[in-house]
Amino acid sequence: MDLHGQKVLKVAIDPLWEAMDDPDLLARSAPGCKRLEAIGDGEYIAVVELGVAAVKGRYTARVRMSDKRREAASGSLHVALKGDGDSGFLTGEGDVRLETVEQGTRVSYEAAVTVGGRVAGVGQRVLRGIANMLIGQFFKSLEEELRSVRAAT
Amino acid sequence: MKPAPFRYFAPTSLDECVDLLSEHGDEAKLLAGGQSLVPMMNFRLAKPAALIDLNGVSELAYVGETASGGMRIGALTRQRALERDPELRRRNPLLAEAIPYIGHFQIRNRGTVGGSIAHADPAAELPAVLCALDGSIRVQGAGGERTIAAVDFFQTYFTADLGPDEVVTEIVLPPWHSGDGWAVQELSRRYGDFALVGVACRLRVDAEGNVTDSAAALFGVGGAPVVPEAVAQLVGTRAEEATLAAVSAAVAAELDPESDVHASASYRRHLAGVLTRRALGEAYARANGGAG
Repeated sequence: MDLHGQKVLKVAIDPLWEAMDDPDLLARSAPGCKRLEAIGDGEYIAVVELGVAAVKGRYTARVRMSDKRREAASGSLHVALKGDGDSGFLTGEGDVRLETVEQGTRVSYEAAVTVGGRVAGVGQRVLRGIANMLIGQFFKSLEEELRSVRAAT
Repeated sequence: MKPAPFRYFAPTSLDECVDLLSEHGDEAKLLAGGQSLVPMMNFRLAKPAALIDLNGVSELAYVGETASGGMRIGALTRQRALERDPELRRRNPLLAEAIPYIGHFQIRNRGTVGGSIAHADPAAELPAVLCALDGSIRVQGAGGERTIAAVDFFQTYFTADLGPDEVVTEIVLPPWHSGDGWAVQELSRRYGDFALVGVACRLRVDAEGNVTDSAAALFGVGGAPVVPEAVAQLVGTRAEEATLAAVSAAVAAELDPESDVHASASYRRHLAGVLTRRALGEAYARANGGAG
């Protein structure tokens, strides 16, 4: 399953880069994230509880961020993900690009994700939509977190 | 294909149901017709700790009238009961035309109005019909009763403005204006499948044949029903072929559907334009005293 999308966040690019190294902030922004533990070298263990319709599950994932290319007004990083849980499993990797635009920072992502297990069999019809929705929620929360941090300082 | 163990509750009144919900809240699921929930439980994708069976809450099964002459339909009303209601075609022909598109008749025999609304499937007919008709949804919880406009109620995939301790009690439809035209168009790969794309619309036309009011909602093209802004461009026109083509193309351009194994995003967008054009044309003909 290919996922792609983009969103303009009303925050500058520098705080976004710093957020990528802030597990607490990432954990607060990721939908359903109960725990995010940095295990070094850009790698994290995430425990996520998600519920869509009546399908509620607890998933554990290993997330690795690498190949950070940070320039003044743009950049990219590579994210790899491998997780499983009550009702299915997922592996995927993709690239996130950041780019300074007039209103803030444009975040775009492109990823190839494989979802398997029961959730994939039954949920095929809506998987991509829900995946994009969750990614969208993550960026939206990240934007709100960063804006509230800025407002508080 | 057996569900995980759960506690079973069978309230016989709405009050009892609300009490049970506030007690079990997030751990509980409400069972109405069970046409979506039970398969998910049997696959063990859904493993609620408690099931609150609404089927004994007979006070929620009714078709009534509002003070202004609109319809009130209780959440436990079976879809099939509406389909077989000889008055429905007169009281709300758009709703009457949409009901047979819901699954198969076996599904409609059990499936309820409130269940379909609370489940908020992005390809379901009833949420879109409610949005096109400017309907609203009444819910009850321990905190009291709320009424939510349909366009605000459906938020995204299987997500509605409904708390874990709340139950949908009824849907409310404004009075049907006799003379309005309507249409439902839907395409699915097989009869009874989920819609690849569907559209429900309603038009009002004055004595000269000019459109004075237009409303539409599409389903299967996003996480929730989409009410396209472009459909308002019909107002003031006589829905000529060129106008219909322009408006439906503008509607399709507003959409951002997803691809899945059944249809690509671009096919869905194309289909949305085609179905919108057909639906608006049909609704106009009916409003203008044609094929109605």
